Amino acid sequence: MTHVEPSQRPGESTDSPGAPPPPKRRLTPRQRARLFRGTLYAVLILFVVAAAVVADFATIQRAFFNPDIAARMWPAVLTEGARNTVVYTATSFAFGLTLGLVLALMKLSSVAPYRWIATGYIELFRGLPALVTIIFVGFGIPIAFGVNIPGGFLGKATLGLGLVAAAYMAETIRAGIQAVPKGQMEAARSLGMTRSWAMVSIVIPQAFRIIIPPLTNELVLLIKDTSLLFVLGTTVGSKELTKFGRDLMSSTFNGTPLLVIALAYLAITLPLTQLVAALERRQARAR
Amino acid sequence: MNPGTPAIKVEDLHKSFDQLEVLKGIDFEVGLGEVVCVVGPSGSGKSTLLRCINRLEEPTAGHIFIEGEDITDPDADVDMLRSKIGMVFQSFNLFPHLSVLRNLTIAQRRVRKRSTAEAKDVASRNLERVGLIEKIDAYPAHLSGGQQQRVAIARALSMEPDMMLFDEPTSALDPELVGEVLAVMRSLANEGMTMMVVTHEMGFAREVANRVVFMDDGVIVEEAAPKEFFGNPRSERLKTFLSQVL
Amino acid sequence: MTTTARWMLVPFVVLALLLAACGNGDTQQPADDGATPAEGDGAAGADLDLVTDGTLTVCTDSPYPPMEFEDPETGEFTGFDIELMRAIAEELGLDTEVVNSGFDPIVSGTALAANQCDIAAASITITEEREESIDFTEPYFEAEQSLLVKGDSDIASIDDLAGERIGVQSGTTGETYANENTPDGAEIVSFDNPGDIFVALEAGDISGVIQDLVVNQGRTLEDDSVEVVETYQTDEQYGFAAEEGNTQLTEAVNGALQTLRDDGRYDEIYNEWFGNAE
Repeated sequence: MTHVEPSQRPGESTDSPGAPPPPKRRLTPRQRARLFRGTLYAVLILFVVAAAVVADFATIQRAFFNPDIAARMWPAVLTEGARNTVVYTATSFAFGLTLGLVLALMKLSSVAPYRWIATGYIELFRGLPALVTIIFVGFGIPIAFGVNIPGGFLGKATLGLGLVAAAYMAETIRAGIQAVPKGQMEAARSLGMTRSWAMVSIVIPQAFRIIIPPLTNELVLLIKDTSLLFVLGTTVGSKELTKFGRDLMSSTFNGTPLLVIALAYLAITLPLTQLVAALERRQARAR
Repeated sequence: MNPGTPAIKVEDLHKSFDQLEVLKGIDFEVGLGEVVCVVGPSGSGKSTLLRCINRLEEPTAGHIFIEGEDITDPDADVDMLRSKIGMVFQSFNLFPHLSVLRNLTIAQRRVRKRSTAEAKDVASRNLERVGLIEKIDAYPAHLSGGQQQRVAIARALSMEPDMMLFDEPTSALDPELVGEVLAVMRSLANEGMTMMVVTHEMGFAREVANRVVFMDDGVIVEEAAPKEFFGNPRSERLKTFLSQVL
Repeated sequence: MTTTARWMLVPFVVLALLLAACGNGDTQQPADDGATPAEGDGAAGADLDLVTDGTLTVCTDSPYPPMEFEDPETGEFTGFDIELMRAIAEELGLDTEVVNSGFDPIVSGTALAANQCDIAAASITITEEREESIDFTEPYFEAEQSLLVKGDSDIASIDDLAGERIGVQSGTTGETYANENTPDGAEIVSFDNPGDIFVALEAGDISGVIQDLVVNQGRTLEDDSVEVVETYQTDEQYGFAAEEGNTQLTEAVNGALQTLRDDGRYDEIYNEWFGNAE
């Protein structure tokens, strides 16, 4: 019975058991893999060591880890900065969701001009940087139409970010509606329900379940976009986290505020991204 | 509606999907209280015919009369006419986000404007009729295929329709679950419900139908009472079809 | 109603509640800038067409100490410009509300045209160019430009700036002065936010700052590692800015300013911030 010895290599002679084997010529696949992994580890360690050596830890600590400054930021960083970030996110999300639903339905409408308007809106506000839209709302609209946007800073922030959010969410919602099996609408209609009732009670609720993960993603993006709102002109108490941090950075000449607001942002966004991942996993299982 | 009016009357129905003509001139009737089974190879257009009857598919030409009223008329109150026709789908199409009870009552409340209590009464009665009253608060996801289809039948019945359309109601079911659904359909027929059933279940057609219709390639080839249909097929195409399926 | 439908209502409810709760808060905020009204000629303020009735809304560009900045203790806006403005508003029988809108929106006129504020107090130098987009009041302050560098730097004058990065604020007369007077080879770096300029100097990103003397000097009082090495007489004067054509407001402010000068309150405020009156 012949079987291949694992240690045998091609080219090795097997006739004289006592003689030393000829030197190895090539590496086995397993050895190659090990060498590759080892190299990757070595590169990583090299980078870490280099960074540690090059970094001036004393300066880093002074510039970013000043406990007094960090202590001074408390509790305003929460009661003003974080609170405003959350509030602006919530209001623009609600606005964007409402308008986004309307746009999604317009895009699915049988009335062609509604489809064109919806498509035009979506392409426009997805194509512009959010900052430009916010500036439009803060300055363009009041100048062009002579109207004051109601609600002060909050109103302008909600409108500015909400217009942007609506464009992104419209596409998500539309995809969700179209993902609901056609049979659902057919069943509802064959029971005698009008198209509108069928949409509202049968299709849209199911569509929303489907799109909860991407909507939560949109929420996270909005949280980060609130950092652009400072261009609207802040008043006392209306600063969101980024403006709060920047102003404090320039008045203290220190980077600690930046680190603190970064942590605040992560404290808000990380749980949300985890939630999205969990929701996506649950949906994948339910399928 | 006078007693002679058929429940369903189809006149010269044509239906094309883009360039493909699927129904090539169908003349067809279902009388009140009749049970008609439509059989035929896939692609024959039988499901399309069924779905045209309640205008889930738009006819390209021709007329369809429901109890004498032209549902194909552009001014017709399609929603109202649809509520007279119960439809049962191959893939059940229960509303997954609603409980069984709500599946049965939602259209009753919205379309028939019944009160919650009234709607629940009707729903309970129909669930008993299909043998699933204990599942009244369950969600569709927790039911087997056969149970879901029976609930779907109860849902259609809760609108108290004058007639029922069945689009291959058992084709998506595991074989051991087919029987329970056919049993419900049989008892409905015995109670005198007007039914039009597109199916592959030849046994059911033979035993329950008043008339069996054979469709092939977009036309009605032959129709007869079951005894004639299965015992003495006249056309070659039907003979071939029967030899393949029986 | 199904659970999902109920869930869908939440965003709308949230939106409604938040707008209701916070909607009016921003524009009024009497507690913050609560200047007691009607110490002076209240009637003058009552006729003006203001963004918010009874309140003089002031745009500024913070932080720019000692002219306008946020008091670290109270979080309120303060500084020479702001306090002078508050006194003027009081004189007109109005409350004060401050909006930090940034310099460029002010001098371009957009902040005023967009009704963000009635008047701007942001160390704005009166120039012919700017008069094309905004209306100025009478001058209320005299200013000069200056060059600020780190104490250990070799730079002694503007002529030493070839090959150096110099910070200025975008849209200011300091930027104009730097563009016109620095030698070839000097790199002028424009900052949007004045607060970032001193940070950049500290970080070594720039080696000098050209801007108003009063601000550079104010910096040396806080930080003795920097010094003003040169001053440039530019005969600049600051004015408050109103929307183009709003003569009613500029006249009212001019009137109030003159009153403050006449009764010594201007000098009081000046001394508070700059030591001896001129």
